[in-house]
Amino acid sequence: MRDLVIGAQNGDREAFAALVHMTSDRMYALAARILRDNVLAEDALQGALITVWRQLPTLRDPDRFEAWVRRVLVNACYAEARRRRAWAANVRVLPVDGPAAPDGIVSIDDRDALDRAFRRLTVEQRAVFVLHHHVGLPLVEIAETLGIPAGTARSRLHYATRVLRAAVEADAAPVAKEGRTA
Amino acid sequence: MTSERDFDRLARAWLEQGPDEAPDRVIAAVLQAADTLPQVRRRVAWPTRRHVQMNRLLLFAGAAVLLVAVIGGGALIGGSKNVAVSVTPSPTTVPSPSTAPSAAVTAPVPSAIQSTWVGAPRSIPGLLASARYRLELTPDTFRFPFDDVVQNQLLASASTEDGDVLRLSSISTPGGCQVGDVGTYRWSLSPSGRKLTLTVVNDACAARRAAVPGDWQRVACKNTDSACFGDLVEAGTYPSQYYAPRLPADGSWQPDWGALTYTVPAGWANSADWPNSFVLTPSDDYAKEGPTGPPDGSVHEISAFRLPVAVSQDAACVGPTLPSSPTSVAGLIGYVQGLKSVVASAPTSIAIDGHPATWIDVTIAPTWKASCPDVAIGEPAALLLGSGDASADQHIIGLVGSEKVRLVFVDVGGQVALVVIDSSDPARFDDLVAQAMPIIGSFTFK
Repeated sequence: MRDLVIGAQNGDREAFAALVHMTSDRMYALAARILRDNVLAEDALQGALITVWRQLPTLRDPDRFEAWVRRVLVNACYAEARRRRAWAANVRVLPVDGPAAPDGIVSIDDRDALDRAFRRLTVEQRAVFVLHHHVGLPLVEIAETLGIPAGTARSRLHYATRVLRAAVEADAAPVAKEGRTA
Repeated sequence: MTSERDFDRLARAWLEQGPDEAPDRVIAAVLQAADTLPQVRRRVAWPTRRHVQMNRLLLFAGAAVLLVAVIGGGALIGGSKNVAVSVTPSPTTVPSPSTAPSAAVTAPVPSAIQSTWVGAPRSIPGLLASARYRLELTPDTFRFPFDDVVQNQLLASASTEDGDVLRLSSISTPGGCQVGDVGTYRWSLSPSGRKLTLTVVNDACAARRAAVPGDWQRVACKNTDSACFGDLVEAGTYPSQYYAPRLPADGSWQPDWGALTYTVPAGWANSADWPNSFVLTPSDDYAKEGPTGPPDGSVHEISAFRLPVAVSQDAACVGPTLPSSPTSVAGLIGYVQGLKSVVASAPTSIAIDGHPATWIDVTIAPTWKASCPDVAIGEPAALLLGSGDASADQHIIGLVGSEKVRLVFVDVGGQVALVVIDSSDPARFDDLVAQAMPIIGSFTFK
């Protein structure tokens, strides 16, 4: 991969195309899980990959390509979420297509509870949660990837976990309406 | 309770459920863009080459200025009456920006106009119609996306020429435009920087020529859950983007530019804009808000809601909708007046945009002692109405402590919109009402 990165840095479009094919599935999966909306995830992926192409010559260490790409993508997810939050929060809450969990440990109730609770998290909290639980990054690497202090990453993960866990545990309780008291 | 290990396993399994393959169309679009987009080069080749080119152009420009000065000076020295020498270059001496490199000084898009901007519906050949359009400017990119389409409808690299001319070069090809089509637009900002006006100078792309010109309002919402305008700063008449006061309960929601319009004096903010709710806040109070709204106990705003419904006061203050909720202005007012929890003033009839409306002022009854779980101990709380349907944002409208609200019910033609003037500070309520009523009187419902 290092050779491809160096080639792409020097304007080799075939090398860049190879990098896109190597990384795009992982990037899309990450974006779809952070945004919980396939359409937004596609926009984030497209924007991130174009940024990667344009900014690639500025990457100093080709060995850091994957981490750098991940950071570009998460920033693109932030931008998409902010641009389109009105849709995401209210109307375009689309079910995410995909296979059911292989061992069937996620019940429909759990999934619904997690889906609802996840949408109440900020996109920054979601990103940390997904990088930790889906990508499997330790907190220190998440902090480095996102360019935030480790303590911030820890608190975001803690908050997200608390909210999602509470949602699962309150699964059987009546669901309160969202909104504020005027 | 769920153990930590169980939860981690559950979370991982839940996150496993999702797509894992990037769509081919996205990859194709990226690779197509890479074919036409230059990379940001290291500071060795690219800027050097540009500097050389720029220096030559500047030299030429300097010579031209010198020539004009000499002609002008000569005329003055000679005492000629023909001293009005135009310094505007002849059109024939300026290459078309769409066909040849410009001699203008180029720079990144200035930070003053880097933002998301929204504007009124317009007829654009070759692009999908929308009830509201949005354009986005970054230091080097222009996007004109459609809310419901993956691809950017008009994607272009962006820069400025001579400071106030925006130069766009197409990267994507919708609307019959070609990659590399160049368009130039003169831009200006209102004094507050909240309104961007773009006028076409030249554009080879017909779709963009139809899309871009006009006035654009900056999206500057503190609450990132909403795409509201934020602090409007300037007086004027503004449209809503999302609020849908006439959308029936089973209606399908989409952005709707100007479903509500309102006129405000200077110093007001649009602090929320949702299908079911729309909020205007004095700028000074909006300045104290955070991303999730005003600090606890300091609401001071005008809120408009869609589809008000009667709710019951349950112990948890969830406020379940009453199955027999009235749906008319008179019915809803009668319901509020009949609540044991509140004291309501006599109804006053008015008209808003030609629609019959009625307002009442409401406070908590002195005898009412019930409260809600998230209210400070000892403070009574009364639920009044719910708003909206389950397909969008929902709200419960209530009162806490000595709070006072004015409820304005408007018959917008077959269904009711509810406008609430609400201040947590009873001492500021009358002043807010005095400011709010003319604003509410300016409302129009599309």
